[in-house]
Amino acid sequence: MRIAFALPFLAAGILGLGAFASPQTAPDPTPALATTSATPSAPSLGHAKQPSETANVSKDSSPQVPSVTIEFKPQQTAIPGAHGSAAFVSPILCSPAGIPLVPFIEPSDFGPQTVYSLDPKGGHAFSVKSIPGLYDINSIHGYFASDSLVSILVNGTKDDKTAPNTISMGPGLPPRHIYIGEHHDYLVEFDSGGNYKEALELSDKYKFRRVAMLPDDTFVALAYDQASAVPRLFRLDSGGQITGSLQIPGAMQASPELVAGQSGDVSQQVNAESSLSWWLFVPTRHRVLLYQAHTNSPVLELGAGGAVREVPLQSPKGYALDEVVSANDRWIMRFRKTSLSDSGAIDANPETKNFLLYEVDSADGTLRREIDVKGGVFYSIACEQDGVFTAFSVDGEKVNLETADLPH
Amino acid sequence: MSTIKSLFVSALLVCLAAPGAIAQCASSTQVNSISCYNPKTGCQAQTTQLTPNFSQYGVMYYASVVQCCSQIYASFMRGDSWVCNGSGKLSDPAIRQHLIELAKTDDIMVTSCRGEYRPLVIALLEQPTSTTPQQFNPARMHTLSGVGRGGQ
Repeated sequence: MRIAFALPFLAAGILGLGAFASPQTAPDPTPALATTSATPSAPSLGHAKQPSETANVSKDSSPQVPSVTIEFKPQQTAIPGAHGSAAFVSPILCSPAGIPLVPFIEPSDFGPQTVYSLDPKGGHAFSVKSIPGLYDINSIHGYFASDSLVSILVNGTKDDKTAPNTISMGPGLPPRHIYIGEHHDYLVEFDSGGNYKEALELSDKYKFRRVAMLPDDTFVALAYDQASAVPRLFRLDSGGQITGSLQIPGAMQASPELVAGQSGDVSQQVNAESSLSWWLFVPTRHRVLLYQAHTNSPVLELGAGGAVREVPLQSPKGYALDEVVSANDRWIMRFRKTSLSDSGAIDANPETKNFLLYEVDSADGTLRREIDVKGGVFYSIACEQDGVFTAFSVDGEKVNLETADLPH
Repeated sequence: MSTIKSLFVSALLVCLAAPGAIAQCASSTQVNSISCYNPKTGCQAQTTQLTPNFSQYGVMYYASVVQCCSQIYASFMRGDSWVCNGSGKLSDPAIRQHLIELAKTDDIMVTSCRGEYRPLVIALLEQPTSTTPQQFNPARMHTLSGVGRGGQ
């Protein structure tokens, strides 16, 4: 028996969500610096300002912060083996060697994304759609790459029992089975060639939302603790077992959703757990940065052995942190205009100034310089490696890498 | 593409009815930020895609779509109700029995996949869904969030 309740003409509801809204293109003058606090917190890990960084100062830039211009140029022909599409889940993460890994989205696919590595020597696909003995994987909760493997966090079941009913996903789409076995969070590991290796089962006590690898080859994981209605930050060993916990600063837990989640109301707790979607790990400076997108909350730098450093962020006035770019030697952050709606498509062309790219001082979270992007690939900046940005462009299914040098 | 477009005008209510989907049938969601690009128009944009973590839950969601640079991508949107018992398909024997025991002395109201409250006994008998609100005594009512396995 199929459970499929067709509700005709829900267009109004969909429009209420913002689908089909036009990109927002509100112009904005060059932003001034915010006056919010940006006091240095923990000891600096050493990022000396360079004397030449005032070069290429733009006429239009804020007087307080210099700006530089970078221009992307295609580096070669299409990457063999890589299959791109016109959209992907951001942020993009990169391997320690600076190879972008991109979760491309196919237009008609309700299933989990496939992550593609954009190695110039040859791309590889990392797919969780057909993991042997693992079923009902609906989405990717996070992924990361080390030197030798790519790991993807999913929820699924090893029990292949299904209910007699199926779910209709829509006209022309295959029905979805309802898997009735116990579900768990798994860390699915692949080698760098995209070959499945194993699935590490994570603790059932928590709902794992993000995982990353620390410099000492152990894992750090963000999870939601439903019993106490708070987020948790754990260290995991190479087998996925919890070995300890790390303190999450109070300022990062002060969001309205997380506070409301402690009221005891189930729906509020669900919202709180969902809000962890905006908590993201990104590899930076050979460490891992934990940040909350769409906020001006402090960021947390995580190092080997679980060393933790909280850094408050200074954002351009009227902007909040959107995402952090994978980088091996500095902090590169993209900021998003706070006046933009949370629904509908946002125009990301650089001239709209809806998004701004900055280098941020990793010592104290202050803005070091704005990075103006010339070229056409602002949306796909993937990583920075020793002063070179890597982005990509997609033409049909072909993917081309582009690079740009960041002036000193 | 035509398939996804058709979802726009005839969105679908997705209500899962897994065993044990009582206290936990309110599911969290995964919200993804999507970046998109259209080389023909030069469009670069960002939007969000919502995916329910529905796995073993009973969840009310509408299959939906989002548009980004003239392309349409699958997404979901929440239903009006967070609690749904799958039209009476309470197939977990333990929870089913627990609810039946409670129903001997109390009015147990459950929501249908249309978001309508109705007595548990009717839901279990799989009688046709009433289109009118059921009369019940709130003082004797158990909310579904207080029944079942609790959070894991």
